[in-house]
Amino acid sequence: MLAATGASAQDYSKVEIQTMDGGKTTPAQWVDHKTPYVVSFWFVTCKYCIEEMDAITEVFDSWQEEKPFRFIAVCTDDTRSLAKAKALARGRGWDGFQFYFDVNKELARAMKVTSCPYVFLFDKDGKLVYSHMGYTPGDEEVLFSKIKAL
Amino acid sequence: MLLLVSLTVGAQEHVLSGSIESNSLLDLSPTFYSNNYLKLDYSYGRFSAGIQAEYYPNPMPGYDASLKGIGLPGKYIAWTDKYWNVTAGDFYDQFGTGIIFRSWEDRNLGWNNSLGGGRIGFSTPRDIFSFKAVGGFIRQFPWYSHRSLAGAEAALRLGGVSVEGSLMARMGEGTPALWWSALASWNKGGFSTRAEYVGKPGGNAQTLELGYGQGKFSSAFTFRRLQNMLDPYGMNYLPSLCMEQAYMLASLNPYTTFADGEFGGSGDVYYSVKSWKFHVNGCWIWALPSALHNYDIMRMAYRDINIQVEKRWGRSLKTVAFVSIQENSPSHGDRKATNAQNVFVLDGLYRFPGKLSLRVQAQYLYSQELTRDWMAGSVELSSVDGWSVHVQDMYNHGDTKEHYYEAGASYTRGGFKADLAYGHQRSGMICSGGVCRWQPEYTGGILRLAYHF
Repeated sequence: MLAATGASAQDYSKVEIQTMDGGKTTPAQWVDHKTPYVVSFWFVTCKYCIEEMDAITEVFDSWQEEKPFRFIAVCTDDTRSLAKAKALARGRGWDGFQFYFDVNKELARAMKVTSCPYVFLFDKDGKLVYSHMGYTPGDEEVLFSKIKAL
Repeated sequence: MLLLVSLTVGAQEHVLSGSIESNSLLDLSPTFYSNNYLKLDYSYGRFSAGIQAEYYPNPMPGYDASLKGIGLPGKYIAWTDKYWNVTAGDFYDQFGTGIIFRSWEDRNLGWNNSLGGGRIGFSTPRDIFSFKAVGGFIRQFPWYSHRSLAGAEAALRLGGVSVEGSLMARMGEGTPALWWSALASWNKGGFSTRAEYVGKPGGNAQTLELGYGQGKFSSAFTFRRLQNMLDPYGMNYLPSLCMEQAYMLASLNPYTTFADGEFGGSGDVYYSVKSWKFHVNGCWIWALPSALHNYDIMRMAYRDINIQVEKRWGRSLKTVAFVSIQENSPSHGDRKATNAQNVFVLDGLYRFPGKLSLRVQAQYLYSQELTRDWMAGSVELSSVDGWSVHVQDMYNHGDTKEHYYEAGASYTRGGFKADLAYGHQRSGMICSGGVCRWQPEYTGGILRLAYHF
């Protein structure tokens, strides 16, 4: 019997994307069975993406004390913008996030991301529990309420 | 919310996911235009398969008119394990930075140059060595063109150092052409660098990137030289080095890469302190003498400098001041005339107590060339509930005295988005990721729908 569920997303768990130092990672490697994690797709000229990550940065440390979670920022810029994306992330003080680079949008395509920002929330076992497209101030609080509910 | 239809059988799980996207325009003539996409992916253990169907009863303005019709241009089956992956069917990929080869899709641009054929990849534990080979025919909706590519790439990574080499043959247009590339990168602490050389019959390209960061200061610089790098197969990726502008008036006259021959560099510096954030960007491109008819020295093709200062005033208000000083040569340096424009922007975001927030922008472009001065403004009211309404106007008060306006509303919930707008769109370049296409002028209503399941 087929059932509509928030199932573990095996269809994209093996898609390889780049790490900060030029290595490879897959979504399957992000599951640590200890903490939930947010996967956020962004690019350097996406104003709303930057607003969202700034808003989360401002409260990230205090939220960590309340409910630990990881924030994985997946940059969908092409390879030309890699250096710029790294510089932007450091310059805006996005210190607590993990950064990966989906330079040919393989993971974005597999996760059906056609516009940014797009956030996905996974529980500690990698099960998808919430997703949201776009950003309006206050969306980060809705996201954190979903994290706290896990 | 993204829902995956799943069925668990033993330890394995069937997973089906998909997306639907529809963009339609009814203009005043009246003519109806529409681009529609359906994507479905299925996986079971190490096996996956999928399709992409596209339907263009009448392609949107600015898109290739030959797209008209219905087709199944995307279809694949794939098998992946820890070290190997094999794909048969239609796929996207790239070698190096994409100058030698990139197949990709961008629906905003109407660009899709997927390959139909096969791909095999292998990587060792910890990804110290990896290899992949690809081959296939280039997409020509709804089927394939007679042109094909075949190539391979190998990469070795040790610590923060990696080296890559690739070969790509292009076949189907006269004599087959062999392109080659070598890339090296090194990361240590806050420092990173990457260099690439790409060669082809009669042409070559060199790229150098440097990055450095310390605390909340960071910088990135890219230099690139292109000599006769046009690709009749349309399978090389040559985006503009210059910053892709986000504000309406700053993006009126974007720079597009001069693949015949250019040399240039761009740099970004970021710094933040307390509630202030600073960004300075500059770009300077020269046309190479070999690509010019009237000069035998390098000539300026484009330059700009962009300065952005952001300030957060407590929890509720953020403001941005932005200045862009631009000069471009419409002949890519082949004639003396250049166009200069200075753009000034004030941008504010205010969050009301509760669910609402308001964005307001005011923009001014000062120029003595082309259609001279412009002004623009926009207001957007949005709610955490997913509703958003906006109005914007761009007015040329220099020569044409014409308004380009839009009013619209959107609703987003989980993986669903609906966007309805009515406006008068200016003709000009639409850019995405440093690549641009021509957008003709139109007046009408646009409905955009997207749903991911």
